[in-house]
Amino acid sequence: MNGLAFLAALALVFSGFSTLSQTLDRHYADRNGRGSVPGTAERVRLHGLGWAALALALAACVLEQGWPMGTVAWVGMLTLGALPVVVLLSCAPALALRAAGWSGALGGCGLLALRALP
Amino acid sequence: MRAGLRQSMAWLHGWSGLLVCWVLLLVFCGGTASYFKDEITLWMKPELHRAAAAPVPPAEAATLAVAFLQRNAPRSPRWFISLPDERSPVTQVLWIRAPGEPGSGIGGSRGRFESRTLDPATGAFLGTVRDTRGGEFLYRLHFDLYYMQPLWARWIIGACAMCMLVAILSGVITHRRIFQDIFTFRPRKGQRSWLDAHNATAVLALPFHLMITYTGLVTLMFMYMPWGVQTAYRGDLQAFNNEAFGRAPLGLPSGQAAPLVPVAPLVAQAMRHWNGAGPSRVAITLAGDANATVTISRGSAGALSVDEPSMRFDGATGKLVATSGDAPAPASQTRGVMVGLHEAHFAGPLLRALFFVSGLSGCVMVATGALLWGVKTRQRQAKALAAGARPSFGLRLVDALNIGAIAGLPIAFAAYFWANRLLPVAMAHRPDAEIRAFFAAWAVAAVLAQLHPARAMWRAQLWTGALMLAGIPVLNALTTDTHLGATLLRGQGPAAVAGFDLTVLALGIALGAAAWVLGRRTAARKAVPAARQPHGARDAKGAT
Amino acid sequence: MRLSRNGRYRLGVASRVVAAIGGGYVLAALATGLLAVVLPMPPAEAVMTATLLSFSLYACAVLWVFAVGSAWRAWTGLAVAAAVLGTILAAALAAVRSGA
Repeated sequence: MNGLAFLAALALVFSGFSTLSQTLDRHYADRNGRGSVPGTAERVRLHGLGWAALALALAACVLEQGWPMGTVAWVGMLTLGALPVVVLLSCAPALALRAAGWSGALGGCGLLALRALP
Repeated sequence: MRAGLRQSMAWLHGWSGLLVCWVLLLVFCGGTASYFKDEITLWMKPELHRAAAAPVPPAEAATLAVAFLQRNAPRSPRWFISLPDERSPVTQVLWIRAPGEPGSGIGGSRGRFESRTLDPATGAFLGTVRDTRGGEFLYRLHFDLYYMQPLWARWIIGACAMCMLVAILSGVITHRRIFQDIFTFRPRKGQRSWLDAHNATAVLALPFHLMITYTGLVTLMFMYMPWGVQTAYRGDLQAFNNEAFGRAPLGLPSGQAAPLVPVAPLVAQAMRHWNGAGPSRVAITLAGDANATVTISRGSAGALSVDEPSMRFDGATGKLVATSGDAPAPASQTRGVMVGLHEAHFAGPLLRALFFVSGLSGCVMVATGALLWGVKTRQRQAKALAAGARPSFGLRLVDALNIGAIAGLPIAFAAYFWANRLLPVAMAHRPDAEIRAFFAAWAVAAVLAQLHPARAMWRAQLWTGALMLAGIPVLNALTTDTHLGATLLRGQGPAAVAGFDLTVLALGIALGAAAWVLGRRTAARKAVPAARQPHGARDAKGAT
Repeated sequence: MRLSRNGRYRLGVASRVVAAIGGGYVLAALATGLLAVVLPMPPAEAVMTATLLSFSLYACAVLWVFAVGSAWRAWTGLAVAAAVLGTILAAALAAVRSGA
């Protein structure tokens, strides 16, 4: 697994999980005030973006290593990428979506670079 | 048992976990370290660092090895050469002593062999490389234990692994809000924080934990569950092995002499069959006899499965007798992949690091589970404890075992590495001495923990572990010249050695942080007047 | 001999532990032996499949023993399952022996 694929996948997993965490009442409330819950439209949007980021992370892994090895690598990345999300949500939950946005963008660029490189 | 599925599963989870958690912690620590066992072995043999730092093309290493063998074993009937690879940077040569030479070797059938480790760049014998079991000890520790017959150890570990499997499944069933709680961590909330830590490390690496436990059982499944072979093959294990793995039984010598065919065309034929993939091993039986066989195996390095395709040739005629492993049947392949996933032989450095992180999360999961039990039990006994009673036998025992295992194991691992650097290089029975250091340090920590299972002991042992682990790179700098200054800052040394130094440093810092936080908590608790603490809910570790 | 409630509880727990560890293993062993002869695939494959599945069967049996209402029910269930599997296994082995 080369460094670029690793970092791109990590960024995308972090982004996906940060976004998905906002579909959970507890973490949404941490960011938007106690008792608030995301509306249906917002929930759908967050789910869509979050799962898309995780799928792109799978793409980054599989692109470089093939399906068997890539899937194993992706499962490992899910663990590694979720740990910083836990830290973020307990230290600075307000930053969750912004961090998700930035890391998603970086990860996306990394994925494009992977496709572009020979 | 309480009524209800969740409650009964919670009970089962707690007990199946607690009874084996200390053994499991050893297994997880040893197993996690095993992912880098070759790197650990390299770190423990500083004499090989220079060779490892500058990889040599295999053709060159082979030529130099042959030259060495021509000089030193000219009349030997058989030479074996293991060429250097990414994880083992030296050339190993092995030869059978020519008939008539005095055999003063290890005795028995092993006395016929002699082996040397060569520097791949010069072909020279590497002289006194310090004798050590290296990372292999840690690898074997996690399923063969030590100081007992491997068979007993494997049954014990198998039973513990079944308990772990039951604990994982019952844990998932009992965790009602497993998806809502998946990212939850609430620090500084006593029992709840320990529960959050246990849940986080367990759930975030749940695929790994489930996989590693089940595949661990699968690696020894014919020992634990031989009943399929018993019924379907009437107990004929050899017949099963032959059909399932293509392993032919060792033939008998025919008595007729027949020269062994040249091996090179057979290797070429195998490589053509495997579309250019290189062979990893050649095994020859009964060379010079009419019943000789030559079996060429392809390495399993690129594939998930551990099973290696192989081709068996008649040694006298060169005819292909059998191929196996090219199109493995589904169940066989499943088994091969499962064992492969457990060993992670296929993993490059980054993927291996992911496995390592998952293994560490397993260690933290087991440790936080055990600590959580202690905290919960202490809370149940809080009233009695506050009134001056002593902790129950079970609580005191669990506290002591927790300290001995969670704080004691890092001390043991560190002692093993310290012994490697400090023991004299040319000492007799050196590997045993290093291993004794491991167990002696652990025994001291465990006994002290039993004598005084208190917070002070936690802090003392955590600090000891932290200083010993973080001190390893310093020790390395004082005893060798492939320390971090050379390997990392000047970028010249083997990367594996730098990685090892950095990893133990990070682990030492983490332990130190834990000890420091515990120290602050203790000071804060002492500052609160005793009358204001009837619930003891913030008491996280150990007795006072 | 009359046991206190606490004593009955502990006996129940001990009984379930024995049932789970011993009875569960017996059940898994019988199932493995049976599947190895009964599965419609080459013998080596059948043995491999049956053995690979055995640990999940064992784990499920253990979970069931502790989830079910009482220790008696656990033992009864295990005994019935073992009897059924054992009978089918005996029949299958006899059929194989007479057929082969």
